[in-house]
Amino acid sequence: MNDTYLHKLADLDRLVHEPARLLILAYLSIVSEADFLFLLHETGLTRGNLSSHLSKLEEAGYVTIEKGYIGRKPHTLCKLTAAGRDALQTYRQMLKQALDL
Amino acid sequence: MKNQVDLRSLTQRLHRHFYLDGVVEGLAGLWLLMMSGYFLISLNIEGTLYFFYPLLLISLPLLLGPVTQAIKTHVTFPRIGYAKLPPPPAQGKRLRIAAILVGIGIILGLILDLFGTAQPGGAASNATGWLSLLPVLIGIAAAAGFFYTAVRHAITRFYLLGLFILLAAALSNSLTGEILPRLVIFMALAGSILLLSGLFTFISFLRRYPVDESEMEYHVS
Repeated sequence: MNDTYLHKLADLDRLVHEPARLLILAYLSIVSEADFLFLLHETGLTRGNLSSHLSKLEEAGYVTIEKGYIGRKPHTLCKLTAAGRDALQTYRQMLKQALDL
Repeated sequence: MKNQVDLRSLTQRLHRHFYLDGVVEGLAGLWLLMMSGYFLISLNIEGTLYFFYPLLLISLPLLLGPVTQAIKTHVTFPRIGYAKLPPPPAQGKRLRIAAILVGIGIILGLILDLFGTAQPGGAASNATGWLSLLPVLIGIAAAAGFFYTAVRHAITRFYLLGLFILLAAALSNSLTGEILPRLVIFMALAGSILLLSGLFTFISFLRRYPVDESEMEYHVS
């Protein structure tokens, strides 16, 4: 392992490092947009967990959340922002360099 | 929670998500059966039904485009959610469109050629030798599409569908007689296989994923 990079592990973005949020960001990075239900099915998180993690990611500016309705049913659409994409990319690079992946 | 974060497998899952409901293959099968029915009627009824032919050709992009989208919007997305795939890179997109257009052109050209040369009663008056291979050519093209999708997105049932379509093409090619009846048999077999697979997958999908009515409670705030 590279010591210089290994020390940088302490600087990892904790918001991205959390496994559930990392999974959400990874899914949003491969789609243009996805709704709440899609993320719920694909991540396997509970509704409350997913909702909480999305809120944190939105607060950090990593995802945008559009709330609307389809018919009478609420619909929540999520998109990764440029900042979110950069954060995920930086996280991947740091982890790769530190662990010689 | 699903812990694996592998972008390649996530992308495969995303594409599988699109075929999870069986709508695309079911509608493709329905179209093949309609084509088969058209040729069957034109074999047995004197006179012209030619005006139906362009309608049938136009109905394919309609079935796989707006009709599929409408079914997914009203049936699929309320059950498993909605995700939009990113647009392919510009160069790849151009190549893909060119390949699809060439493929469609070849198949339509072959069908139109057959249409122009066929006579009532099933005889192909001046059909060339290669034209008699039409069911096989269509079968190979369709099976290649299924095999490609199966390999690329790891969709197991598409291997079986590709195999069944090849078998249907081989069977219709092994029969003797005029080309139109053989084409009718091929389209009926391939269409039935696709329609049955699509229906079975669709019914399983409806049972497995009931409509989710509870997003309201967890509407992200």
